[in-house]
Amino acid sequence: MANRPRRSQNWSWGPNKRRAATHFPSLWHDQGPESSMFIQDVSSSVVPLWARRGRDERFKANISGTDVDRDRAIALLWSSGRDNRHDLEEFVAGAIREIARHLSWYGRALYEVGRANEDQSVYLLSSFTSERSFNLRWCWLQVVPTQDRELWERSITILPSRDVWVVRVPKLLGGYRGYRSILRKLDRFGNSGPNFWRDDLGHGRPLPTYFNFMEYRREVEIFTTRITRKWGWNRRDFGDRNWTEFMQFFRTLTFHWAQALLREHIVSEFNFLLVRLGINAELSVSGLLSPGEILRIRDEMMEGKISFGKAFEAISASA
Amino acid sequence: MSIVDALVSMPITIFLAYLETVKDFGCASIRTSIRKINWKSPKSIYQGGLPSHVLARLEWFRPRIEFEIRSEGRRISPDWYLDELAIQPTAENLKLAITALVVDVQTIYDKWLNRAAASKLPWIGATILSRETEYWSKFEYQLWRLQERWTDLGSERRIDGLPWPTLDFDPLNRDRGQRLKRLAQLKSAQATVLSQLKRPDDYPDFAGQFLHTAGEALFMAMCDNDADTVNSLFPEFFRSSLLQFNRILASGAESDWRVDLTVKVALAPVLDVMDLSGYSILLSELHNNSKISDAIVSLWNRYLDSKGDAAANSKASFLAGAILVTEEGFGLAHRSLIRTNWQQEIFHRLRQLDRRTVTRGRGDVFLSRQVVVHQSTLVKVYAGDELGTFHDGIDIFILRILRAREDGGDLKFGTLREQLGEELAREEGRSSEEHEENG
Repeated sequence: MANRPRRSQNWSWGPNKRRAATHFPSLWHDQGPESSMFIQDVSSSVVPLWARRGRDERFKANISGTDVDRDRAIALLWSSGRDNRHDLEEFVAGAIREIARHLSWYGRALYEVGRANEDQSVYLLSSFTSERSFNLRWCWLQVVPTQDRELWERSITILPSRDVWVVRVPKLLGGYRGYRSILRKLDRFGNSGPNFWRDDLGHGRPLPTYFNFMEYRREVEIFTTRITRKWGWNRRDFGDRNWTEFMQFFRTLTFHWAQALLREHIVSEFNFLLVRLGINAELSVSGLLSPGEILRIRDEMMEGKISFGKAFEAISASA
Repeated sequence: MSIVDALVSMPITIFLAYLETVKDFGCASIRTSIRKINWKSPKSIYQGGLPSHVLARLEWFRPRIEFEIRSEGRRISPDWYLDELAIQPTAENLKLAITALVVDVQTIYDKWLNRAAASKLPWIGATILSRETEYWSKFEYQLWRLQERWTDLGSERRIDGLPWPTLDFDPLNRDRGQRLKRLAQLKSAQATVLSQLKRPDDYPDFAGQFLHTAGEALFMAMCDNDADTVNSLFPEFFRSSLLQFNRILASGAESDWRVDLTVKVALAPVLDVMDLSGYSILLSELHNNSKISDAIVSLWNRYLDSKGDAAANSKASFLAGAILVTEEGFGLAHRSLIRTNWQQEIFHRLRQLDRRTVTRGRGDVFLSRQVVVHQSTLVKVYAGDELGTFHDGIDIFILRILRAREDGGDLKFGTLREQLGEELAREEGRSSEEHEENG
C-alpha cells in the first residue's frame, strides 16, 4: 500500500494562480495526414495500454522516498496526467502518456509549476501551449496572438524559468528542433500529387503525360521514410510494395526502441524535476523492454539468430 | 532413323545440360553472385549470370533495396535474408525440374513410342526404347547430384513461415522403378519383334541389347522377390531368346554347329534363359514364393513338350547339346562374364542368411560346420560356406527341368554339371542326421 496514492487527496490550482495561456485557438490548424499519423503513433504506445493493474502484472511503477515526498511526487504526476485513477501504475502510465502526447505534438512539453491551494508544500503541474512560447534563459516569454488577446486578456506572459518544466524530445531522436523539422517536412508533400497536378485535375485540364505519378509517390514515400529514420516510423505501410518483410520488422523494432527511449527520457526528466523541487523521491518503472534490450533483439534478428516471429513476440510483450 | 535418334536423345541432352546448371548454381555460387550486386545500379543484378528464376526474385528485391538505401542510408535487409529468398525459387525450380525429369519425360517417351507403334515402325520404336534406357541409366547415375543439391538448398533456412517446397524422393524413385519395369517389358516384347526381322547392316543390334537389359531386369526382379515383374517379363524374354535357338535347331542338320563359333555366340541367349530359369527355382525357394518359378517351369515344360520343325531330335537334347558345347569348348563362353555376375550376386545374397553351428561325431571325433538356417536343401547347398559354390543356375535347370522329364534321363551335360543332384542328396542326409543328433 506504500506505493498507492492517497484516495482522499485532491489538490487544486487556484484559477488565478495559473499564469501561462494554455492554448491559442487562433493558431489551431489541421495537421497534414502524414504528420497526424506520425504524432498519433509516437504517443500511442510509449506506455502500453495494458499497463494497468489487473490486466498485466509485468508493468510496475514505484516511487521511493518518505510518505510526504512520495505524496508530493504523486501530486505532480496527478496534475500532469489527465486521468484521476487510484492505481499507481495507471497513474504513472497516464502521466507519461500525457507528457508523450504533448511531446508528439510540439516536440516539447511545457508545464507551469505551481503550488496547491490546499498545501503550499505540494507542487502541481499545468501544461501550456508550446506555440509562441520562447525561452529567454531567465524566463519564458509567451506572446499571445492578437486574435486571442481578448480571451487571455493580455498580450504577453512572462514566466520565470524556475516555474517552468520543459521536456524535450531526446537528442538521440533529433531533439526539439529535429522533431519540429520532421513535422514540417511530413506535410510538405500531399498524398494527392503536386500542386500543378491537383490544379489540372481540379480544372478538368488534361493531365500531363510526362508526369509519372507512381514515381512521384515513391519519391515522397522515400522522403518520408528518410526523415523519420531515427524514429523508425513505418508510415503504417504494412504492404510489400516498398520494402522487404525484414525492413518492415527492422523499422517496427526501431520505432519500439524510440518509444522506449522516449519513455525512459520522460521518467528521467520527471526525476530531475523532483530533485529541482527538493522532493526527495524517485520514480521508476519496470516490466517493459528497455531501449538497450530492444536494440539487442534487433541486432539478433539482423544476424539471423532469432526469427521475425521471436523478435515480434518479444516486442509485443511490452507493446 | 538418325533424325529420330537425335530427337529422342533430346531429353538426355536436356538432363545433362540441367545437371551442369545445377552444378554451377548451388547455394555458395548464388550467395557469391548476390554479394557482388551493386543495388544502386539497375543493371547489376543481370551481370552475375544468375538463372532466370533467381533474377525474377532479384528484380523484386532491387526497388526495395534501393528504397532501403535511399531512406536509411544503407542496405538493411541482411545478406542471409537476401540469400534465402533468392535460393527459395531455386529450390522451387529444382523440384519442378526433378519432377519433370522423372514424370513428364515418361509422357514424352510414351507419346513417341505410341506413334512409332501406330506407324508400324519397329526400328524407330527400338531407337526410342534404346535412348530412353540410356536416359534412365544416366539419370540413375547422376541422381545423387540432384539429391545433394536439394539438401544443399534447404540447409540454411532462417526465415520462419517462408513457404519452402518439399520433395520426397521415395515416390519419385518408385515411379522411376515402375517405369524401368515397364521399359523392360517393352524391350522384351520389342526384342521378339526385331528377332523376326532382318536387321539392316548399318542398324544397331537392338534385339541383342534389349534381350540383355530384359535379362538383367528379370534377374533383379527374381532377387527382389517381385513375382509380378518376373511373370510379366519372362514369356517375352523366353520367346525372344529361343527364337535364335529355334533357327539353329532348324538348320542343325545342315551344318556342324558344334564347332562353329557363330553358333556359340547365338547360343548365349539360350544359356542365359536356362541360367535365369535355374535361378528362379533357387530364388523361389529362398523367398519361399513359388510364384517366382511356377510360370517359368510350366512354360519350359510346354515348350519342351511341343513338337517343332526339328522333330528328329528332342528339344531337350538340343539344349543339352548347347550346354555341352559350351562346357567342352575352348575359352570363355559368350556372355559367361554376365552369367558370372549373376552367380556372384546370388552368392552375395545367400551370404546374408543366418547361419548356425552344427556339431556331429562319435567317440572322440567331433566335427562342426556352419549351416544356413533355411528349410530348402537347394538354398543350403548354394549358400555352402563363405566361399560359395561352383554351381550356377544352369545346374538347377538341368536337375529340376531337363532331368525331371522322361526324355531327360539319358542326356549328357559333362561331369561337373552332374554333381548337383549328388550334393543335394548328401545335404539332405546330413541334415536328417544332424536333426536326430541335435534333437
